[in-house]
Amino acid sequence: MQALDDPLAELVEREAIRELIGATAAILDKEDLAGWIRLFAPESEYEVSAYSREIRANMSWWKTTRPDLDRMLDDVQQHIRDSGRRLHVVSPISIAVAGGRATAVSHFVVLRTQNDGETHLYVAGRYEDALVKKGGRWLYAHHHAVLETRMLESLTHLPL
Amino acid sequence: MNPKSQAPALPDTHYLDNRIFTEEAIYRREQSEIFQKVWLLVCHESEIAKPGDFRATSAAGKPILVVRTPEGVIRSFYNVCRHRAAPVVREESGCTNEFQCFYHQWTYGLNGALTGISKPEGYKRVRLDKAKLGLIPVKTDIYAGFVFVCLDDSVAPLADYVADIFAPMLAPLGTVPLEVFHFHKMVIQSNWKLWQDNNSERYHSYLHAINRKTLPWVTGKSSPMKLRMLAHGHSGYWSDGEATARYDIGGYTGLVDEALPGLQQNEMRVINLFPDVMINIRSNVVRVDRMVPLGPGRTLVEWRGLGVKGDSAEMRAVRLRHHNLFWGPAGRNLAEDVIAVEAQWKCMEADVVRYSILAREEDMNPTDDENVRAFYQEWGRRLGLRANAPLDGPGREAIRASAG
Repeated sequence: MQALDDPLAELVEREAIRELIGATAAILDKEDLAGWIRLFAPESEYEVSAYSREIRANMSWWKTTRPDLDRMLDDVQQHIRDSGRRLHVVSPISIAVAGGRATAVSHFVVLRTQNDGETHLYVAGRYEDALVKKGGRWLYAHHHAVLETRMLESLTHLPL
Repeated sequence: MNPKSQAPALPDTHYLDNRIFTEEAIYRREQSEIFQKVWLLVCHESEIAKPGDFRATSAAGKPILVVRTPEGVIRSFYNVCRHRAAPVVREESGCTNEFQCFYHQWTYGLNGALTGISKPEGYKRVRLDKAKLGLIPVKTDIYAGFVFVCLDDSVAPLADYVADIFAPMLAPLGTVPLEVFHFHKMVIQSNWKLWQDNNSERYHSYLHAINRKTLPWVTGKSSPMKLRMLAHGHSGYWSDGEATARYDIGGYTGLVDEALPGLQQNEMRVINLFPDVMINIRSNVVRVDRMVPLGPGRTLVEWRGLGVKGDSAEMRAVRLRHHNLFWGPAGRNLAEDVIAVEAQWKCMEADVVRYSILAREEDMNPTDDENVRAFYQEWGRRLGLRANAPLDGPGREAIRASAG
């Protein structure tokens, strides 16, 4: 990916993307699903995957285009679901900007606090994101959570 | 009388004593009288497609190694070195020409024969016989592409055990080659039978927001699908060629293209193998549940998704989307099921409500309890216990013996 010519401009864009990544975590922690979906471009995709050592293949656990994602998240309140509260801890480790497009990789963990107050590490992984700038804002074109964790202590109706 | 110890006024077959789900001694007896004696599904043949491919797993608490030999035959062994009982294979899967124990580097061929001993001169004086020290074989057979093992060498052939229940599944499972495209697992904090109950009884479909919308028979009075009870405690439910899902009325489209052979686009067929397997086919995708009991209140559940080998990328994406919408780790239904059986077991352990009621009689509609009752008849026959009163009568002594 060709970097921007103006180092300062590139720094500004990288900081904007860093803010987007941080905001994504905070919004999910609040379970603001409508706010989370607004971080996606209209033609975009959300994916969660993990490598299976059992079948020696990458598995896609959740791969949904924006229209389907809207539908699934609209229905979340109708489901019987995990009542644990989640806290995302995210650390961007690389961001590359080229014109109106960018890629970013971030390490992340999600902590899950049960109703009794006990907190466990829920998942660990990295986000491998493709971003696009639309209307002056960076948005996800492909938001991809690649998990190290392959066994969850509770299955999820919510994005990770 | 304390209400919790008062049995319901129902036939013996129509209720359960919930202590069958929580008592350690009953769990141990299940291990010895069921899991160590019946055929247990361990994987699908596509997981070990090439010579040298292997899978390490467990069955009835024993470490098992399943391998495809150079001749293409699938064999199984206990995954334990004959030298000092270390595991020969520590990976979940792989492909190899031989197995070498990591500890002292004894080596075995893919047929289980002991082929190499490090520093062999040390055994010269005692004339150690390598020919008698191969990996210990485990009885293995395949049906409809699924690999089964049995720890009891005297067991009847696998086909005798499963042929009847697999009959309605042979067209979708056996006409075109299938492969596992999805695998995930979880240790659920519940008894294994509660997961099998959940997979068997359809009354709980009310739990699922999507099922209430897309499966008209859930809220309706009858269904084109009927319960089918087969020998050995196996059961299932399917229609005779009628569609049973209406994703369209729930607003879900593009999920069911290219149904598997023998199925209509919106048809589903489900079989529950005694004791621990469910195979659920919905139109174009297969879900397989395998349970590995770890204790009275802990069960490893493995979930597999199968589709057609050689699918185009587009078709695989359709199957994947369909599978994941319901049954993936973020599936809308699966998470609800796990929450239900975990919460249920926690209450059972508290022993407040002693009995579960299995009394629905609905002319074999899927929400009839007849298949679950049949499961517990077989369970009781094998354990020498009555599921509604396991600690009464002759069963009590058997349980004491199991508890040591």
